[in-house]
Amino acid sequence: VTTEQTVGARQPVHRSSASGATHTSDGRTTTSAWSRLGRRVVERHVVDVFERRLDVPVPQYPTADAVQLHRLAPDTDPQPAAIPVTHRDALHANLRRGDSGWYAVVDGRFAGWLWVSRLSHLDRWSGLRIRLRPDEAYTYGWEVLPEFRKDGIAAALMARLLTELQEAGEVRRVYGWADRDNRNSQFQLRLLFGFSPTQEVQRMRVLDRWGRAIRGSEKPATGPVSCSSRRRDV
Amino acid sequence: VTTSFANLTVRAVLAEIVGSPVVDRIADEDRIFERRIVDSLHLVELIERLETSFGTEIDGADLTPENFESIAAMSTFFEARVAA
Repeated sequence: VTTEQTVGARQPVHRSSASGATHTSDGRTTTSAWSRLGRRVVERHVVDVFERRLDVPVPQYPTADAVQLHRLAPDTDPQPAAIPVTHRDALHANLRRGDSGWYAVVDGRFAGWLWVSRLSHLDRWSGLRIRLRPDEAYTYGWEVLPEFRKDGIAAALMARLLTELQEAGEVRRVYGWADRDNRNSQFQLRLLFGFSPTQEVQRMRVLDRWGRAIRGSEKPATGPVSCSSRRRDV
Repeated sequence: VTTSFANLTVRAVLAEIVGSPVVDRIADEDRIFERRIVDSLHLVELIERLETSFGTEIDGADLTPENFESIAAMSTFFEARVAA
């Protein structure tokens, strides 16, 4: 669930064809509709929710020697020097909620992180509203900065986090998510860590003529998670 | 399609990604992800090249570690897929 393809993504540019199909610059296909108020576009965005049982052994993946992993939790240093300014708001918000995570440092530089929550909450990254039982957890914010993406850091972060949960013994099931179009994240979750899809969340909303979502137009979903109109990047 | 053909095809695809010298040193049962022979950045390329080479599309349900963890596993999987 690397977030590089979703978080911070620019508003897609829409190109319409005569057939009414609309293709966005980021590869999504949407269908168009007309209303008496003018042209409207319905955007369909699919997110897959994955689950993994923790009684299955967690594979371990080697990383480059320079990679160091450090824990983030409400009881650890709240201002780790390596966390860049761009990530401070998220850091503090996640810690305030009581979440924990791991971050990677390479030669003193922040390289990426991964978070886990034990509480039901709205995830700003995926736009999913998470409902967790006491023996369930939800991983999110899996991110590795582009310049560090060949060091095996993403896999090391996930392996470390899953191992920690496994050793603590309180969590039996972990959820994660990936955009349907993000094949790299899909393959990492499935092939490297044995996550299996458990729910498809279809997020549909009506865009105005400038490609912006019309407030309240999202279609809600049902299941372990549901979507929210408060996703910040789609 | 024989087992050896599937094995050779998987090895050829891997060689396109990581190079023949690397693939020549891999045993059929070696776990290619855990040994970082194929890193996570090459997962998409690996799957897409395998789909093209075997002329089959991989269903999401088949994307499991058991089917792709080694050359032997991939060979067995694609041999069955093509034969089906």
